[in-house]
Amino acid sequence: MRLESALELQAIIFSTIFNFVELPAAAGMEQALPGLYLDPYLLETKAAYPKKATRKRAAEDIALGVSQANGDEAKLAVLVQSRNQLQSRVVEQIVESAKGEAEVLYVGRQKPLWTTSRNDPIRLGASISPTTVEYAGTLGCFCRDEISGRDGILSNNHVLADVNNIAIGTTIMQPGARDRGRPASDVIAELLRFVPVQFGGIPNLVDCAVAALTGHGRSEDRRTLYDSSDEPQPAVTLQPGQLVEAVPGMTVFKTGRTTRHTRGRVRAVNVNNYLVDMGVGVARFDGQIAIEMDMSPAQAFSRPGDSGSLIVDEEGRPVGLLFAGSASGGPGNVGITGANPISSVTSQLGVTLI
Amino acid sequence: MADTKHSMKEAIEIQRAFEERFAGFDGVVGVGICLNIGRDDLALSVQVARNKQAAQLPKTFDGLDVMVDVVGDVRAF
Repeated sequence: MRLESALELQAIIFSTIFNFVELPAAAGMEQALPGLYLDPYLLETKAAYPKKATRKRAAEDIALGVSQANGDEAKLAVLVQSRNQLQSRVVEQIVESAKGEAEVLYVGRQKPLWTTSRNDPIRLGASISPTTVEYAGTLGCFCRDEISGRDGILSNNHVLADVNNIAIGTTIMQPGARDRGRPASDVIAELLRFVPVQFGGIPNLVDCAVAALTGHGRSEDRRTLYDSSDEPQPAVTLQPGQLVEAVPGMTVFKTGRTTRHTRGRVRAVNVNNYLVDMGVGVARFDGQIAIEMDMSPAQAFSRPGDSGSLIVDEEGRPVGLLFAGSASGGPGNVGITGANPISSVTSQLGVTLI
Repeated sequence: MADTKHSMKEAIEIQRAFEERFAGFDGVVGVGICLNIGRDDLALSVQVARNKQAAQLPKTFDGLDVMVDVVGDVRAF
């Protein structure tokens, strides 16, 4: 088959066998592209979808690619991580869909992202969550509570406090629950304070919370944003004392749990009436920053699970705290990210970045 | 950010007028200030949920370009 046919076939398999959801942008396109179909399981956060998945995912342990056959001819490559899946009905269905023009390859278990693993040292951008939930978000940076003087970690209310729903003192673990964090051995902090998210059309300025560090026994790297490599390398050195205001066109970076290290550009500032589905209702945010991706090939600046990431400029100066986004719109139609201005976060929460 | 024809202060005034004018407009999920296509002036950035809502918005407002992004739903990440 031709390359275009292989890509179209991937999209069909994502849609009909894996039951992925179609992005609005896919509707009406002449050729379906596989990247426009998303795994609903990976989009899920506890806040947005409280119900547990009740059936096994067809996409579990299977990736699709394109391999070269002869000359311009292409074949569908079915990459399987689990030996149990090699003879499965799902793989059979995929091969049948390709009318035999498929190559099934056992690739073995792939290593998890460093952001979703247990980090020692604890790094900015690593997965975290309360011990009482099932999701995971991102550790933004370290900070000092101005009231108690305790050192802590900064993230969103909806990450550390599940949208006003977690009791102060609840333990926070790294990695988070979605990434197999264990309350018995992975606790690093306890929820100290959050700025409540208000509903009913009342404008919010921030979605933020602080958790005080506890005796976790690990080292901490408080000043480095790491890259996306499996063995993470320093990408940006944080300058926590020099907060800067976002301006349109500014280049920014973040490291987060899901998409790791990405580059973006400030699309808009002073974004008002920014309506965000918090999972338990729609909340209005004013004075926000909108960020578009700035990468080639196109890659979203953020995805679910990146919430809480600290956004910095090229000099490593803090600009914002990532908290929301869309799955479409902006360059590459890969979505636009929303962030709180970092100065609003520190003043509303009463913390200093360290 | 390079020099722009409108200052940020002027743009914020125009943004306020836009927000009042389109306060009840269904489907707007955010209004902010961005750069125009030529990157030589500020513009109004409007995020809407659906294509059909984008078509109902003006191309300019009080001297600023209106840049519309169709983003679908915005949710906590």
